[in-house]
Amino acid sequence: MLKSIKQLVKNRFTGGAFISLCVIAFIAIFSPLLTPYSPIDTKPEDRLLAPGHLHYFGTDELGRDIFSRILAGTRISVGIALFAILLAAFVGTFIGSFSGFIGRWIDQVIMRSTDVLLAFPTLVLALALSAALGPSIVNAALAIAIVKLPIYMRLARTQALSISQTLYVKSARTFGVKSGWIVRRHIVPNLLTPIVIQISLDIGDAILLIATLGFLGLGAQPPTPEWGAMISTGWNYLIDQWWYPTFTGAAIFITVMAFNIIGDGIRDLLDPKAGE
Amino acid sequence: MNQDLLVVSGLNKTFSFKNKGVKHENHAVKDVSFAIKPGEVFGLVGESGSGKSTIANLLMNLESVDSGEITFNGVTIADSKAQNSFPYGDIQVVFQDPRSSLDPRMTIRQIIEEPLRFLSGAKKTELGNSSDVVRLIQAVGLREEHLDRRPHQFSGGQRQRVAIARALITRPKLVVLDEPTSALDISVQAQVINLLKSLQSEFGLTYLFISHNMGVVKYLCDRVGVLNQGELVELASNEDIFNRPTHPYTKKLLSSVPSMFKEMESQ
Repeated sequence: MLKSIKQLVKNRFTGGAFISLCVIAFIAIFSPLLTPYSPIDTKPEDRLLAPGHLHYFGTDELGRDIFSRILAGTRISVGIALFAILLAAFVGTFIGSFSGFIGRWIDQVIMRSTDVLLAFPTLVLALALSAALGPSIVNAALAIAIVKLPIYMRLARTQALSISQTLYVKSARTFGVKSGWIVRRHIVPNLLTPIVIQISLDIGDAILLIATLGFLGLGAQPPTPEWGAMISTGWNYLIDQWWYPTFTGAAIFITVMAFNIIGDGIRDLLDPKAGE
Repeated sequence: MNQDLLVVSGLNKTFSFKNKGVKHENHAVKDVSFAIKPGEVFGLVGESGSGKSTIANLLMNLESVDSGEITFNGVTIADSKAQNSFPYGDIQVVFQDPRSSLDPRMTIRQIIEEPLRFLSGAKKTELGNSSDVVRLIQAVGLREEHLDRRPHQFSGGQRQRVAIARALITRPKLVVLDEPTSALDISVQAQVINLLKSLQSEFGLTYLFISHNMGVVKYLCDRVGVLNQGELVELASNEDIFNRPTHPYTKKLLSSVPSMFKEMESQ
């Protein structure tokens, strides 16, 4: 573990991304203690102030400190992205493993349903799902989890197919082991590497999806300080109050970049044959 | 002592598969019958595709029997009607390739203990939380501190020793050895064969030894059955098979014995 972190830091890009991630994680965990102002309470007399020593990133149209809102938004974006992806990975891994291990018609039914989900572009499906579920941050997370689910099912199923053929699964069956045990103790632990790689590659994407849904009014609802929703109102003020959408956009950009670079780094680390 | 431990009678197994719409049938095991007495080493030889491993799979309840019957210790454990209760733990198997037969994510201790979790009946109360693991790892020539390592830290021969310990943890009456040395180096093969031989006398085991290596079979087995394309063409004692083979296929197999073992025999 320590050795892999050392190897990540050695590379200039992944090293920078790793440090950014540590900062982002720190902000996400301690944001209530770090924000100089309340991210929600309005103060109309301070509206749309330019960045200065009182408000580092300026204030928005209701007089809220944008710096505080960005810090508070970190927890929402990163937290929801992690939640959605881990949910998709957990459910997808188990369904996929069973599908690959059991095979027969069950496998066919499950795989054809992933085909249906994969037929839609990710964003379109996420939009449709969160619109159907109703606009809220939890529904946005569910929509993202459902959109990401088939990737994990596919990945797990392919691995499970080959692991099912190994002699250690065959010997386990000679002990009278039930399928549930084989999947839990033999198949899932042996297919975790590609799943972990996929998770690390997907988190950046999920943050972007949440921001997109928020931007379109389908994610977090006001006054929640969610980055996408902030840009959605902020871009109206771009000409005269450039700081409003710019800093928020920069926050999204830096976070997504950091996660993507780390994702690539983890992939290179765990699976040296892929990529290049 | 005279009652047979395992009786296989009239065993048949056919695999059918479709290739480009044409149905193919592979009659892998044709009317095979043999019996194994307690305490003996029964060899099953034949080249690849002769049905050796299919018989092992049928014995281990990994495939269903088309027709015929397998009786273990007087109880039918497999016939065409299915739904027999299989005596898990009483019959254990050691597979060919120890690189693949041990789960790379488990420690040696977890691997050896795994069969114990699925015992039923009297065996469960007797062995359920057995402390035999340490005794067995030493019996197969490894050390106690090896228990907390993982398979990739061991050589092929050592892994096969772990697989043997795992098979013995349930105190089986019959151990099916499915080409246990074929994936190993020649020098390691000899060590594993000698280990199997000493374990047999130590624990009073009965072996079904499946192999295509006639030299090893000659060294280890009391009686030998020769399989050719699913049929048992000859069944005789070790001495008769190697000195007075009757079936032409047996003679052909014998002419392929590696010379190293011939030299070992003459020494």
